[in-house]
Amino acid sequence: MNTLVFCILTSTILFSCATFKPQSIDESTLRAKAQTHTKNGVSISAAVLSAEEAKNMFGLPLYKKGIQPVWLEIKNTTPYRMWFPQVSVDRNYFAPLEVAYMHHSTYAKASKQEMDAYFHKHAVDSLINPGTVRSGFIYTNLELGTKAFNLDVIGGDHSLRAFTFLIPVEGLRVDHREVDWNGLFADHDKIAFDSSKAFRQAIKKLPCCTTDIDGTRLADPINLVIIGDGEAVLSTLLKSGWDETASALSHTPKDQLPWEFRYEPVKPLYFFNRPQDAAFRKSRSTLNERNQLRLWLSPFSYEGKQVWIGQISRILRPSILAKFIIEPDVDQARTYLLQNLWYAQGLIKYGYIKFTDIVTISAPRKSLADDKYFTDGLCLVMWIADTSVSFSTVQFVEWDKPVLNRKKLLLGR
Amino acid sequence: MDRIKRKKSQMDRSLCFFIIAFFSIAVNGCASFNPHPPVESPFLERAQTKTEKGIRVRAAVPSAKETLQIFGVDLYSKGIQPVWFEIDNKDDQAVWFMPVGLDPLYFTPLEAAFSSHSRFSNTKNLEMNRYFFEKGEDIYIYVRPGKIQTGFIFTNLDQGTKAIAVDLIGEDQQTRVFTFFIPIPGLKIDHHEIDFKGLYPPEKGKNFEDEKKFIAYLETLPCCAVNKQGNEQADPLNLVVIGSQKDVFHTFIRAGWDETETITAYSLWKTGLSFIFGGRYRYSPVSALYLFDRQQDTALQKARNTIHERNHLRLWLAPVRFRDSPVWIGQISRDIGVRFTTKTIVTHKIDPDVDETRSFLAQDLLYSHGLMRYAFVKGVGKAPMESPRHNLTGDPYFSDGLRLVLWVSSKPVEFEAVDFIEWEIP
Repeated sequence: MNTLVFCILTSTILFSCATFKPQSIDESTLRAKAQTHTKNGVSISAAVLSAEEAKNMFGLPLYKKGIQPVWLEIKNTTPYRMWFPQVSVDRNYFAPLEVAYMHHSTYAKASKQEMDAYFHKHAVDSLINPGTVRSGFIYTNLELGTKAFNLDVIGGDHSLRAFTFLIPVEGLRVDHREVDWNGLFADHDKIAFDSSKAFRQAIKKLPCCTTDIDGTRLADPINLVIIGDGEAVLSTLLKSGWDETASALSHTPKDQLPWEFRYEPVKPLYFFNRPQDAAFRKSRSTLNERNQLRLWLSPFSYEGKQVWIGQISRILRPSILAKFIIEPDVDQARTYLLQNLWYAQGLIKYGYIKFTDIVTISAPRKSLADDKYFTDGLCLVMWIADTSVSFSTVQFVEWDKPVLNRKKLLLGR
Repeated sequence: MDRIKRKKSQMDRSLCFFIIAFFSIAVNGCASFNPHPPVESPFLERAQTKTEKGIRVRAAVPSAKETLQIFGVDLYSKGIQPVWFEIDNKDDQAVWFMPVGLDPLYFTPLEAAFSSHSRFSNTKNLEMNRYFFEKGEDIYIYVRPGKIQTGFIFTNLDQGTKAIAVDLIGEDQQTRVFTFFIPIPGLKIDHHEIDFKGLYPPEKGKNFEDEKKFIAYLETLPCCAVNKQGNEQADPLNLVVIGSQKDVFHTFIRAGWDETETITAYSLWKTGLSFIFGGRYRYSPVSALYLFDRQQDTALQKARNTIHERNHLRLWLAPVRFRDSPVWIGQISRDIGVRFTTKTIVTHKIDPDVDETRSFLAQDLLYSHGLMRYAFVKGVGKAPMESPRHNLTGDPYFSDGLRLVLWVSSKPVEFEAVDFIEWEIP
């Protein structure tokens, strides 16, 4: 009996070709769930398809190939011709026929051509003439959690209209969406600073390091202060290539695609008597190198903006079977983030606060997992912008001076 | 005389190094950590120097062998290539020098050391950490006026020529751009072998001042590149790039295009592939097509998500100039997969929508701030989707028949300043 079933299955696979049967695309449902932003006569609606929707509308499991279609509708009410560069949404977007080609394999020739025509027809056009509306899809790289993207429209009037979208994607529950932000602090605990002196003093009084759950053992050192409202910080990090991570409580490995280790929860460390509010991860060349960032909302605000306390480290392991250790020169991770956000045009200015004593390479401190690290004891302070900042206008605020002769000093001995 | 002596002592020193290394292996049974400071290595003699608005930058790249001598471990085998920089700030304001600009996936000194750590000797590892730490770049990325800063940045390994685009941002809000092409001894070099100046002596090259005549010239160029014999048509010539050699290469490198195959974030995939194809892939990634009776002067590529997905383009310097700027004719296509052919066994399947790929390039250069203006001209000839034309390997393609003309700049250009010139409307 089993053999028979096997034979039938095999011959079905061998001798028949699948047919390409997408459902029709109903733009009104997409329009209903879309977010819309308008600027100077141009309005953009955007919706991100879930795995299920993508599969239904295109008749193919696009998420499985790492493709996430984003539906866009661009309305141009200006007298100028508008140009929308797809790379502003995703620098490595997929071309329509590329997406089709990736799914060609088991289909007959006629279906392949239909597929090509279908993806081509539903791709959004990048030129929008005055007084017209264009809609269609851009095929982006898959992101779970929050889909954060810019969308730039460049006009014949020589002006740039930049839109930012943060659209939650169905499927993954990210850590910071589970935080009860209003319940974190009582009103009388909140402090608003306007004087830089008082603010710096308050930061300096914070504990040096994160801890374990009981607060008894010191864990990785605090090395970041980020000044900016939640949404701006989130969007800047996402645009700089950081991934959100799943909340530890609601996460089951089944929720995500097998290769999506990138959303695995980050081990909780404690500060302000609670685990991090949000953790981010950035994978590097191989699976053995990652950067990790934990953020806690502080009860402080500075110049009217929220203040986040953070811990960032580069972690690595010699092989896929070994455990991760932190890069002992922890300050490197801090410097990396500075450049990362600078290049993503999300940084207004930065400075340092002398936070702890110098820890040398010869007399290192230990993290919770007994990883050794050393540091110049500075905390990097970054002001995050709500909108893109020009690359060349970033300023260095001379609060505490970087250590002179850092290398010599930290080599100790 | 003095120089010969120095050379000799250098030789003696390296001989000594090898003898010590040999004995230490023979006696101890395991290699010990024996680095030689960079000042003792001849690679610094190859350093290239460039100066922009008061900032002098020197850059040099040690070869695999020199790296082994300087760092005492074989970093090249781990895919890590140290690049030495000296930033001399003679300006009266500070500048920022950011490693992410030249390699977004750079390694920190201790990560580079970690890649070569011994499983057995902790003392040796600590010693390595200290050595690498000392040789690394300064962590504050902020070079004060009057300061000379030197150090190594540990980048991902590049084959052939190491192409480096460095942007130094000043507190005067000016960006200084430096482009270096540093040949690595022991590996084949590409575009530097071409003598661009000798290609068309000035008396031969025609200079167009008149826009209309230039457009007419571009329209009369052949639609497509051809094979070596010149009897079969290859991919369509859908690009015209206007700019000096420096402008062109800096723009493309800054946008992440490589002259040769590089090991980057996708090194795992690539290593796997070169395993399957016996490493051939890395060294002959783009086949030769012909225009002006010669193969492309340079081929560039940009890798995307997987090994089979990359964009590649070919450029030929044209025998003309437009308002004194060199003119390059080119072809761009997007590889979307690998397929088998009877002619070349394996070839990359190109995206039939070549206009889409052309548009991608304009956007890509725009977003790396290298595009000044752009326009379209005729010349490729229309090919509708229903009745496509075919390239040499039989891949179909369709097109609106236009060529994209790009004016590039090595100085960053703001978005708003980019001009569309209405020669043809797509």
